[in-house]
Amino acid sequence: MGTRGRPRMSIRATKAQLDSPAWHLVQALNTLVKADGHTPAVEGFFDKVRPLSPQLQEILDQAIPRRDEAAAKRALSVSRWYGDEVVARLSHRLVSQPTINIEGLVGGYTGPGGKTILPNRAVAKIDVRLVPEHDRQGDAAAAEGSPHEAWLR
Amino acid sequence: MTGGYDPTETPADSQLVKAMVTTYHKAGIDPLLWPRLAGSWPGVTFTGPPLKLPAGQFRLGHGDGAHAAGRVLADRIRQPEGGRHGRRGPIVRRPVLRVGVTGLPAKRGLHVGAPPDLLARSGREITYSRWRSCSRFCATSEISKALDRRPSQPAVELAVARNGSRCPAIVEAERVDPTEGAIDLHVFPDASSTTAARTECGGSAVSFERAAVVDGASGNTWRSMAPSVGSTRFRSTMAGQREPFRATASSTAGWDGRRSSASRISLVAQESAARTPPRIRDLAAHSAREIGRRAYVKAALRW
Repeated sequence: MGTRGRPRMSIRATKAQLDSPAWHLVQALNTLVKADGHTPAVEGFFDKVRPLSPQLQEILDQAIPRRDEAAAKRALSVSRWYGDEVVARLSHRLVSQPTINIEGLVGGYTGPGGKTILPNRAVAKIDVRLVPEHDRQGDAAAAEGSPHEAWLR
Repeated sequence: MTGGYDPTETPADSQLVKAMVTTYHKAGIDPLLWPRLAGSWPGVTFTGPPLKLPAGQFRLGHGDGAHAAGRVLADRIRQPEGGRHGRRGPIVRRPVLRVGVTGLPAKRGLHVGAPPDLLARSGREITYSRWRSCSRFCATSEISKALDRRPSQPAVELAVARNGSRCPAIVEAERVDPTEGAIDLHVFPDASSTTAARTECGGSAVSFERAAVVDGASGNTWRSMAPSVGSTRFRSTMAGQREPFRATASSTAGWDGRRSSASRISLVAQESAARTPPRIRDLAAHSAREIGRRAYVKAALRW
């Protein structure tokens, strides 16, 4: 019985004289997840993930048939799950795996028309959902060891 | 790092979870246990050191997986006659902010909601008074409203967001005497202790208490079976300071027969000193940002 932890952090890229903070930010973000767009790619991120205990797995197995999959899809306005996964598989992933999410991205000019500018700052707010035995301090330390450590604040 | 907290976990065979399951069973409900929510809350305040207490979230329904049972309620609101659109409207779905989890002050109303099936079983329908006139318009066209239930009903706060923008919500709720109505409460012997314990935490005096876990089954109404399942309060007071740092959290709604407390998580920092344990300070600051409302902070301080 529990919920995930949720450390949050910001990645900021600021402009060098001729460099592009926006591109560097995009490249930094691209290192956080795999090509599927959601699986965390940070080295060692899964090392501390404790597998579901047999007790929790049993609780999950008992709960899945009792949930209304069709209602859940209606609520989310979707007709299918990611990768057409079956509920048992995605539920297991949902309750047992950590995630790295981009809460928001800000940078440059996005208004009407165009501006021939080089954004001087680009920011992404990151929301990391942790599961036992993660801890946010360790998570931050891992992030700070990334190739983009200089941008972490 | 701009905030956050560690994951929280309480064993399924803990006294707290057992008591809750028993409560549901006594209420004629077969609860659905779920190993771990995808969401998050700073439950580690309780489950982590130094307290290491069990803590959990128990509700009658989460709607679409949203935070609070109140969201189910909000989604089912029927516009009352003479309402915002001047006519009795259909049951509508509307985006709702801040219902339940960070809800009303404890002394001003009980924050409850109930899934439709439970409403049907109880034979009761929740009715509301008219919408009050719009409380506030922001330049971004967001509306904040307060909705009162009829007398003797608990008050519900709704803040309706438009276009994804936010503006300060205005809390308007009537105080309701929670002792109204025939509701028998039973205290589980194994969780009835409210004796505070003390320990030391980074130079701060930390006291905590376990409130009674109550069983409101006998009323057989949604109200009596509202998430009145227990609460855990945590308070950290910096020694020797006139206005101490204070962190207060309630893991679930509580009802001790004299007052109700909203299902909420609130951690309030009052210019916390550097001596405050960093983790608690971060939690408080984070929650204060999440709450972001002076009115609520004040309310929490009165609690």
